[in-house]
Amino acid sequence: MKLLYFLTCVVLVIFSNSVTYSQRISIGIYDGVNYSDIHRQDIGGKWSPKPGPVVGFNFGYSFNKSIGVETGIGFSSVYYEHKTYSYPYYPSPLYSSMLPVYLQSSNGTMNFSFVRIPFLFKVSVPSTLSFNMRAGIFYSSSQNYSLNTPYYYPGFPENPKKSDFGYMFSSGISYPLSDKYKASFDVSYLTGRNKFLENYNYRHGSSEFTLGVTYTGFHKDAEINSKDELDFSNNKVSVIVRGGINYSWNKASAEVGKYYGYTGLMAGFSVNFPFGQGAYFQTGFSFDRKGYSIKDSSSSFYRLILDKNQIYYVDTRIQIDYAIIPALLNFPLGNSQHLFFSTGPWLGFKLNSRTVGTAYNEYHSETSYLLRETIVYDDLERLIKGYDLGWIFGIHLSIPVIRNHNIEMALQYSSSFRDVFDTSGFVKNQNPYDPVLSIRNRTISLVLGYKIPLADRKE
Amino acid sequence: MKRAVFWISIIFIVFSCDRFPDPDVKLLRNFSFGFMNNQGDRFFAGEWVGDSIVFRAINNSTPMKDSIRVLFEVIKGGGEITVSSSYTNKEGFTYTGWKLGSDAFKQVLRANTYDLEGNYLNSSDLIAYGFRTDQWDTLPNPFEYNITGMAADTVNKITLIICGGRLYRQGERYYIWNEVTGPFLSSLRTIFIDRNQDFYVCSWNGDLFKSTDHGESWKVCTKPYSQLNFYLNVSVTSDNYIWVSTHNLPTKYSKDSGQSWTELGSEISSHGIGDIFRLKDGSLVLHGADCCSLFRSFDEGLTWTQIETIHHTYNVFVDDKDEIFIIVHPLTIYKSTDYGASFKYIYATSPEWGSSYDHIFKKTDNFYYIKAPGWGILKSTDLVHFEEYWINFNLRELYIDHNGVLLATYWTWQPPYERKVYYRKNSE
Repeated sequence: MKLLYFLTCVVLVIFSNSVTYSQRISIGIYDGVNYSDIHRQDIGGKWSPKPGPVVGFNFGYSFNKSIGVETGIGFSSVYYEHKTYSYPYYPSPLYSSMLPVYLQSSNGTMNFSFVRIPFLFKVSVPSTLSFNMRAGIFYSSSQNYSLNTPYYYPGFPENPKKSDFGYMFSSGISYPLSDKYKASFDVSYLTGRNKFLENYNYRHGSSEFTLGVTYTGFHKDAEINSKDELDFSNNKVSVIVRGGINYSWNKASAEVGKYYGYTGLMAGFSVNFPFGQGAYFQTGFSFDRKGYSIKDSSSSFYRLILDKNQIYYVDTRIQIDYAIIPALLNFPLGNSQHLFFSTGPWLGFKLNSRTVGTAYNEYHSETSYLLRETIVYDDLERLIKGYDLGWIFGIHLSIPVIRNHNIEMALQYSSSFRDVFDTSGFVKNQNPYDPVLSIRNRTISLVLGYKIPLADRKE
Repeated sequence: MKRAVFWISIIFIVFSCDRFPDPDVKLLRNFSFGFMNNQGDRFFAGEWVGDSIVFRAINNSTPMKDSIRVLFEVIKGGGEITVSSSYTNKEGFTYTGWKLGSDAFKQVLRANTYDLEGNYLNSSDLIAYGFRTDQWDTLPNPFEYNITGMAADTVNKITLIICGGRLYRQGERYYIWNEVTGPFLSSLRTIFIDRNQDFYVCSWNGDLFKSTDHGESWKVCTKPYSQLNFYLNVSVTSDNYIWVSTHNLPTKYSKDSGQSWTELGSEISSHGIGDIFRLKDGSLVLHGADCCSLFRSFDEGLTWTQIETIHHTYNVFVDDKDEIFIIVHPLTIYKSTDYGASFKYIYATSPEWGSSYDHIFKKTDNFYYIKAPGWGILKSTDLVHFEEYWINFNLRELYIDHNGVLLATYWTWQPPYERKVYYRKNSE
């Protein structure tokens, strides 16, 4: 989730920008650090983000100053470390085991070295400090590995799969060092799609922070003509960097227990395509943290189950990180060109999900009284569906401030059509105490945006 | 504007520094509680339990700073307490007094603990048993559940039992048993007493020991089967003859308190001894340890004549009038008043399960008690009229001490391995 905050910082500091020219072909070298982020673990505990090196080359081709593709070859070492502590965890408390498994404190590590070839679609906002976003796929091949796993993985050791395929999202800035060289800083999010161990659902993942240098001075013919540009003038396509606060809660299928809302952050950008009479189509990309919280008695840390065998007072937050792609139609309200009503669907890809917080358990026996505080950190990725789908309604206000600087303020309500929990892998309703609620995302977002003043750029 | 963005960026950076803590479990409060008095102590109903009841709370995390409030209440038995609400002292102790009631045999005193904010912490129970008169008092899992023999000296008011291979003497109260230790007193199996009030104990190895001083000291008798290390079936008749048998060896008797042994006739060697009685005419009536082996001898056991019955007999008893009672499977009593020439049906029960039926007639001064394993106990004054004294399908063994207190046992080797001892002291 650091990625979310960092991207927000990045996109917020780029508006002291001015235009620069692009070349069609570019080649670059980058170096940096990755933080491991394993996905779809089966049991509780915490996979700590561990730093590892990353280095590579990239090759870019731009169709115009804003759109291009990029590939390259990268080398990275990803270090996973699992920290487990002795507290009761329900392996799949949704529907299967009724009794907790008491995990002992144990650390395990898994290390991998990869060669990676990405293929990315790239969108740039041209200015002196250029803002770039990329999304695409990658293929990776494991060159080396070591497994030092905790004792409770009975299936180990086994041979990890050598190749992987996954998604990659990247965002960053670049600054011209000279006519032919640019320095860049990028943040990338990678998530593998293949299980790399046969008996477990783990999938590779990491976040990367890289510094690079790109050479663009191949030949003059490669310079992009102005006719190839998208029209970013104020009355046409525009890009808005956005950040805000989400207040999320779950819409349960029945009123059971004390579920509460959760406040998370969001950051991203949107691209507006006008289509007349002040209306426009809006899409884009953002990182959103949704979820809900629990403050009630439960035997599960992430949904209310009044299992009398083991009852905690649970005070936890369930956090689900999504990469959101909206598709909104915006209509001006009345004759105003500043106030808009927006509506449309959204599609969200799950990035991470976890339960964090505290849980208290009182143990009364004939000879003792114990009060325990459990610091909860459990990855929930296996239990949360990979994507979510819903609808957005919102009102947004565009306020011109100084000259062509525009501040955008939006209040949005988004609903979801799907249960966030993935029950497909479990035998339903084995736990007689589980009310089997269908839980759906509901979010109110207060968004602050900044419309990049492309009119300032030098033509 | 740039300043605003700068500050927004700073805020986001601060947020991004947030780290999720590692999972962990912390013990915030940790108390131990308990009564200092022994659990399950035995008293007579209506007695005070010791000098006082001592309860203690211990803070396992830090030394006790605050008192613990303790509320005492009698949960079961109907007794009374002297202090119902108190606070622990600096060492965590608090006290009350408890006088047992008579509403129940198992009596429970509960201590409910609270912190000074009134939060409930735990409940601890102290169990005491209050023995009553004219009622069956059931002890769960007491040590004497595996009693294998009892001998009562009604003249000197002494009762000894063999339990778990060890010898115990009854204390001042009928439910108190004190172990008797000595050189030979281990791995014992059974005990009996003759008309001279001499006790004999027999070991699992076939050794026999005798005590002429009420169990204080023991002497070794001549081993009936010198080469044998196996247990014996032992009976003693009214003439103080000791009769022993074992597997596949000749049955023997001793008329000199175990000093020498004489083999009996071979007719009964394969049957062994279940019970044996001396009749007034000097003859002997014996039933073997197996089915249908009822014999009579007129020559001190040198030769035996089998008494034919139409039934499958398992045991025999002869009363003071030389009336012969036989036990027929499953547990039906027949009587003969003509030395076994004919038998007449007397009484029948229907046990839940089968068992061996040796020594099933128990006689006190006034009554006969007939144990019926798997059914219960019959009582009779004249062996003509029978009373269904206690129906208890769990009953296995019945013993009677020198005071006439009944002690019945039940155990099973099947889960959940229930083990019980029933005491009953009758007022008459």
